[in-house]
Amino acid sequence: MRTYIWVLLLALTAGRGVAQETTEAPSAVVQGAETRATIQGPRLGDHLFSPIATTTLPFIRTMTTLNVGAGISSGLDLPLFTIGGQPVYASVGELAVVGFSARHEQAIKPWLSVYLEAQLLGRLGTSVTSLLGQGVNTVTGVDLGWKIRIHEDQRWSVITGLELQNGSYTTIDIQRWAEGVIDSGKVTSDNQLFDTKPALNVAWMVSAAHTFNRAMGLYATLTAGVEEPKVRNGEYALLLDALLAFSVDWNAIVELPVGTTLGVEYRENPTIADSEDGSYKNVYLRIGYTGDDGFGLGVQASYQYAPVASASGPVQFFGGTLDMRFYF
Amino acid sequence: MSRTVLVALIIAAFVFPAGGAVAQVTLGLGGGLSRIGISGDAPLDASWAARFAAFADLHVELDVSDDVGLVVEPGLQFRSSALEHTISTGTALAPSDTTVDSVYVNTAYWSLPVGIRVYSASRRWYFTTGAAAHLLQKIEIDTLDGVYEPDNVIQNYDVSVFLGGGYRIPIDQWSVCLEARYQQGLIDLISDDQQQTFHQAPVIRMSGLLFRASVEWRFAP
Repeated sequence: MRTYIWVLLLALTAGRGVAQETTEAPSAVVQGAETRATIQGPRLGDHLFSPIATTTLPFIRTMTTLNVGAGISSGLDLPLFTIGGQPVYASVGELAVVGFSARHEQAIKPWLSVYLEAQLLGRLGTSVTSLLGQGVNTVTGVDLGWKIRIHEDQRWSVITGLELQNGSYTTIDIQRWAEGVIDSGKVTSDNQLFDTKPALNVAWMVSAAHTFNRAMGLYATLTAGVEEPKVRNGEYALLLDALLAFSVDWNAIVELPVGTTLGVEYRENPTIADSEDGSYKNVYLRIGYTGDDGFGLGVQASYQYAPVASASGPVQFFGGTLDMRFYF
Repeated sequence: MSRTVLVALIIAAFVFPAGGAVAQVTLGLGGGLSRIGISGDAPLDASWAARFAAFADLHVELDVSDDVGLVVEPGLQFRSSALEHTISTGTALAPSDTTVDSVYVNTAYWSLPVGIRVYSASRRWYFTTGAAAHLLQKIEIDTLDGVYEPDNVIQNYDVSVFLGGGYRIPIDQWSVCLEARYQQGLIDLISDDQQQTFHQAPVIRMSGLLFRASVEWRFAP
């Protein structure tokens, strides 16, 4: 009987130990989750978003992002380049675009953040006609933005914000310069080969995200504002930018820490320093790492359907972007 | 008269909210150094540089919540800019450049910044941001040939946004605040008259930093 009691006590003790382990194990998981939760990535509820590069997140977070991208047009069709009425017979080439941006966003409170972004964008022709006809355009800019949370729960996040885009737009217009030299017979100070013009855009933004489940989420951003002319004696223009992106975290489906996001964007004004206006349509596909809330690395393919001055019609651009994000 | 009553009612609504309790109010005097200058287009081979100038203001703050205050700071803001030229002063064997100032543009604005202060949990550190309207009170252009006060050279108003941070040292109901701000002008300051003068009108704005110290007194609740 005494033996049975000892066995029973041992079993109870062991059972209690097992019970302690089983109760401690979930608490360790919860603790781990809390530790992870202190680094707030682009997560809303259960879903970890893999955001499109260079777009504003619909969350208030402290983060740093770096983007490097390049693109090239396809099938550019430009009219024969002429100087002083004389045609220049040369290959057309394409338009190449390169860009770099770095942004830091600092959450002041869970409902307020500010960010600073530096940008460098450039576009130039890859051959004689495209280089002479389209020149070289560069933008250096610093954006300053404020974001205010309107609502955030496990399913929805809605923010609004204000952004100042303070840029310097440099245009090298070879055609205009060459014609000016021919007309006047010499190089004059009135006829500059390149012109740099400061311009400030003020834009209001509203953005929302929705989590369907751990695997899928959707976010959208609408930006509207006023854009100063990027060329001398130009007109003020309205700026409109609408983005819709659908995000899938494959970690929730096949336990692969990869997220894909498909985005479509409609933009009413160019972000590079060309004078033409028009509507830009972009399609993005981002493939990113989703194994960690605190770090995001992604590559993004983009397709753009954009107007180009003096081209016979809208031009297709294909590009790629490397996107790195650090959340704090 | 009716406008005065309306303004009084708005102020009363802030200070005496519907609950009957008196909203927390802080009053203060501030001032410091600004380094706000012209940026943008400059003549060929020249550039604009900001110079230090002074500013002074009143500080009125109404608590919106435990950690957010609505701030209004009417005051006088001086700004100064130099037009710098780089000239070669060396020899062919030892080339060197020297920067010389050819023109100083000094302005004074009546300013009305309206913004918020967001305090940390300790209520010592704070973040501040908002927008400001500025009315040109005086412009003076200091050249090598003398000083003159031109008319209609720049717009007689400016609008800016600002953001910055500060540290508050509480001493009973008093506090001393030390603050740094960045102020970004939004308006192209070239006047309409000047726009018509130039074939290709330049674009200039005024932006820069403010280093501000203030003494504030917080009314007891």
